[in-house]
Parts: sequence; structure tokens; C-alpha cells
Amino acid sequence: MRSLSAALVIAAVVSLVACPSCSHQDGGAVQHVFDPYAGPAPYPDLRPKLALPDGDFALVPSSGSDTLTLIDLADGKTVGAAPVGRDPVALDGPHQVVADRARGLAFAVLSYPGSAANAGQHSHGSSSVPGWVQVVALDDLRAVGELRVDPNPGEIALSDDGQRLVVTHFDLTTAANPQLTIDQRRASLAVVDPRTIQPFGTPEPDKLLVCVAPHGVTLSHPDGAKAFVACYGEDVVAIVDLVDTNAPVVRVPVAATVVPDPPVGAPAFGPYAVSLSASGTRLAVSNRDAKELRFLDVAKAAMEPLVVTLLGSPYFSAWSADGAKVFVPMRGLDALAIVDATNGTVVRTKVFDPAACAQPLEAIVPADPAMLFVVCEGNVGVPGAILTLDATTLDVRARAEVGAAPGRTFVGRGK
Amino acid sequence: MRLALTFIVLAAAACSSSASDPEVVRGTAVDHGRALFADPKTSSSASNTFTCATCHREEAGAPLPVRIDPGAALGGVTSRKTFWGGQRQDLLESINDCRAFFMDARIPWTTDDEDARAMYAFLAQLAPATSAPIPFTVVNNPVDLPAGDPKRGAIAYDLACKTCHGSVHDGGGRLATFIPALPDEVVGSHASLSPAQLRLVFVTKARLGAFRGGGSMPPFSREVLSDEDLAGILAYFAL
Repeated sequence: MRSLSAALVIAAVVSLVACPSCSHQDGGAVQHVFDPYAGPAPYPDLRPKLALPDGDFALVPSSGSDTLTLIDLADGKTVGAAPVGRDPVALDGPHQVVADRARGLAFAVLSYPGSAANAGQHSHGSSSVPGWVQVVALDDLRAVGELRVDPNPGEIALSDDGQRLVVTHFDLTTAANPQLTIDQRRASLAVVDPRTIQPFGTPEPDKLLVCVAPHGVTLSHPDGAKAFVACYGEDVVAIVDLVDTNAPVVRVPVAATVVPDPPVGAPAFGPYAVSLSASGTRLAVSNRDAKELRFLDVAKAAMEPLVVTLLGSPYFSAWSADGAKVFVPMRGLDALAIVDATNGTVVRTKVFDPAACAQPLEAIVPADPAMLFVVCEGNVGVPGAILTLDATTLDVRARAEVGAAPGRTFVGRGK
Repeated sequence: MRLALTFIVLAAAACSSSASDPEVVRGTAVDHGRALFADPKTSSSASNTFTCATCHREEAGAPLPVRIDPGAALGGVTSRKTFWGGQRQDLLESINDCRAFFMDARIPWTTDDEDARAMYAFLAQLAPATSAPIPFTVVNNPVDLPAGDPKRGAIAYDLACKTCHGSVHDGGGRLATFIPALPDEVVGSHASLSPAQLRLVFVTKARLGAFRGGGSMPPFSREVLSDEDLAGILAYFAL
């Protein structure tokens, strides 16, 4: 009996050892259970905090260096800079930045180049890479949100109340396809409530088909109920109802001579940029190809008879606060003109020293009406810069270099 | 006898329970991070074969340089302020870049994710070789290179390419079958290109990897793979 018991014990031990599922030497299942991390907060934010200057500052997107740079416009010095974009290697093409001071956020539109051939620049309308809006915090320029839009995002606008954000899509490839009808050649305006943009996985924005090659855009005051879009490929200004998005888009030809379906890829006027007066009653339209400035009567949704012929191609203009003047940067002849908005007279023209300002991009009217800022995009030999001008004489008071290929810039005031 | 029967019952019970309940092995958060470092499941993508260890070594200089890593050594990384040659200022964002661009991960980690926290625990305890930013010069507009030395290229290939692409020509031992055998499968898929264009394909892929033309290859900066090494690899390929 004792020997039987001993045999059974041995059998039991053998069975324990031999039982396949009890042995891990033949690949039996092992479950790893790890203690949770209990140390200090992981991934601490080591970025330097940026204190906004008391006076005017500029937040500059640079598509040449893939950065956002904060500049104190009082002395032209860089307060801080940070990389921007979703791609850590290839250039993201930060094209324009707008900001919501109340929420402490900036919105940079990323217009990715389509190929190696134009790497180093933002897309100029021929990319197939989706664009993005990246949201960054103003206190250290960290990314806090992102929104995917269509390829070739052109311009971005934020309503005064911060509750509407729109992005145009400057799709020149589709615009120039002769096989398509004009409706098929039209591109969209993305519309989103910026408060809904998430760090990751933000749903697609609403997209309203507006016109052929929409570029410059601005929103009505204060809530952005209407968008005004410069439609480069169709020679019209599109007025888009953003409250009733089912309402038909109103397309106002920029001149009486505009034909309803202009030749593909060959606009006669080329409206490229728009700016709305502070009162919201008049829209200045920069017709880049025709080298002229025209005006839209907002209430009538019709162009005014006033035509301002310019020496260069107008870009992004700015109204004086009282609505009496429009400051118009021009290219071809790199210059800035002051236009009397009541009669269309060019009151003064400042031709820029090529070493100081190449390719003026936009005029910005700050809080101080005696001053004016001009963003110069630069070129191979001349770095980008922001000029501070006397708003009356257009004398250059200061110049801040801002790196390679600055885009449209946000200017704010710290206090 | 009773003891023996008890033993048999216990043994049977043990066997039957372990058939459904795997052995539990406990570990720390650092152990968890270390395991993740070498685990393709760092990405949830079924197609991913890369791990962090594919491109990074844990600590600089250890082990001896038996390969050229496209990614920086990670000792001290939790104290670094910039990554990707200055294009990132956030470690977790940088990790998510690797997961997205090379590992096909669709959802970024957040600081609340236990895997992300474990990875931090592991990285934070590595010997801090340097907290200074690691130079990482991206060649954004690659151009063809002058003729190189094939002997130098053979060595460079073994150090920089072989881990993923396997043996030259036949791809023996490569990390995954979708990774092309070099140079043959790349040459074969670009049959219409001129020799100069074909060389530029290789240079561009080495310099920009997944960031130009897709794929999942990491880019090699100038600091880790010199133009001379790369030209040598082209010569080794007889291109």
C-alpha cells in the first residue's frame, strides 16, 4: 500500500511536470501584468513659455523654415519661434495664420507642396496633398488641434467672435481642366466652428462649393454670417451665406465685361484677395491679373463703378479704420499704394528698395492709426521682412527680418 | 494514499486551470516600456513589423556600433527639448511621428495611454548620455551624388540597410517581405528610368524615406549616413 501511495505521488508529480499547459518551456501561455506608471507627470512640456509683448506683435508663418515666429514689432526682435506642421521632415507649407486672442489660440493653414520640385514653398494650387489647419496655443506654440481640409488650401479667415473659421481651396489644376464644366471646376470653402477642432480625429468640416479657384476670403463682422471670396478662376466675388448654407452662392462678376464662363485657366481680371472695411459695407477686391482695385457694395451685392488702376499687381490690402483709405501692396513693381476709397485716387505710392522689401504680400493696419505694417515675402536674395511704415508718408520706420518665405501674418497687441 | 490522491487531484486541477488561465508574470512600468520598445505592437497595425529598436538603440555607444541607426540613441531623451532636428518640441509627438509614419499607427498616444506612460517610464530610466538635441540634417532636395567607393558602400550597406532589407540582391533575412531586396526589386520596379533618375530614386529614399513617396522607411540624416557612404552604396549596387 505504501508502495502504491508512493507510486501515486510520483505519478502526480510526473503529471504536474509533464502537463503541457503547466510548462512554459514549450511556449505555454504567459500573461504579463505590469504595474501602472506612478511617477511624475510623463512627457512634461519643456517648451519655453512665450510672453506676448505689451505692444504690437506679429505671429509669422514661414513656409521656408516650417516655423511660426513671434516678433515684437516695437524692436523687431524675435520673442520665440517654434516648428509648425504635422510632418517632422518634409515642409508643411504654413501659409497663413489667424488668431483668437480670447481663447489664446492661433490657426495655421498648412498648404503642402505637391512635389519635390516646389518643396520649400507652400502649395501654389497644384498639389494633391491634403491641407490641414493646425491649432496652436499662443503661450508656447504647441499644437493642440488639427483639421483636415482639401489640397491647396488658399486662405483662412476667422470671424471676429471666434465662432466661424473658413478655408478656401485654390485648386488651379481642376480650374484649368477644359474637360470639365464650370460647376465641376469649382472648389469648396471649408466651414467649421473652431471650437470643435480636436487634437486628433476632428470630423471633416462642411464644404460649400463656391467658385473656380477661390483664394482670398474674409468674413462679415462680427459673427461671420457671410463669407466674401475672391474667385480667381471665374472673375467673380462669391458671397456665401454661412447661416443658411443651403442658400445659393451669389457670384458677382468683378466687372461688367466678365463673361459667365470665362476661358479656362485664363481669367481676365484674376481677383486674388479681398478686404472688408471696418463698417462692413465695402469690400476691396484686388484683381491681380488686371492690376486694379475694385469695390463691392456689400448691401447691394454689386460692384461699384469705381476702378483703381495700379502700377503693379495688388495683393492683400487693408482698410484704414475710418474706411477712407485702402493700403494696397503691389508686385511687379514692388510697392505700396494709398488709395482714397471715396474717389479711387492713388494718394501716394511707395516703391520699395529691393533690398528692404521684395514681393510685398499684405498690408496690416494696427491699433495705432499712424502706423502701417507691410509683410514682404522676399525672394532668393532678400529675406522676408515686416516693415513698419508711417501710415501717411509711407516712410519706413523699422524693418524686422522674419526668415524664409513668410506667409500672411497675424498682428495683435499684447495689452 | 490519501496524500497521493490529493496530489493527483491537485495536479489535475492545476493542469485544468492552467489550460485556460495563463501564468501571470508581473512587472514594473519600466518592464512594460522595455517590452514595448521591442514590440511591433507599439502600433496596432497588423502590417507593422517595426519596433522602436529597429531604428534606435537605448543608449549611445552600447553596444558597439554594429549598425548605423537612422534614429538617435535614446538615453537622456526625456530631457531633450527638441527632436527631429528641431522640427518637434515634444517627445510624445515625436514618438507618435514614428508610430504613424513608420509603423502605420492610426491613433496617436496621449499622455493618458498606459502604453505611452510605460514608454516614458522606460525612457526616463535610461542612462542619460545627453539631453542636448541630436543633430538631424534632413536633405530636403536630394541630388545625385558623385561616384562612390563600392568597398565603403558594402560596409555601409551592412551597417545601415541590411537590418531591414536583408542581404544585397536577394533580400535574405529581410525584416518583412514587403521591404524590397536592394537594389534588384527597386530597379525592377523603375525599369523606365534612366540611370541618373534611378540613382536619384535611391538617394531620395535614403534621405527622405517615408516622407517622400510613401512607404515606411525612416530617413537617414547627413549625420548618420554621409554622402560618401551613400555614394558608396550606389557604387556597391553598381548603379
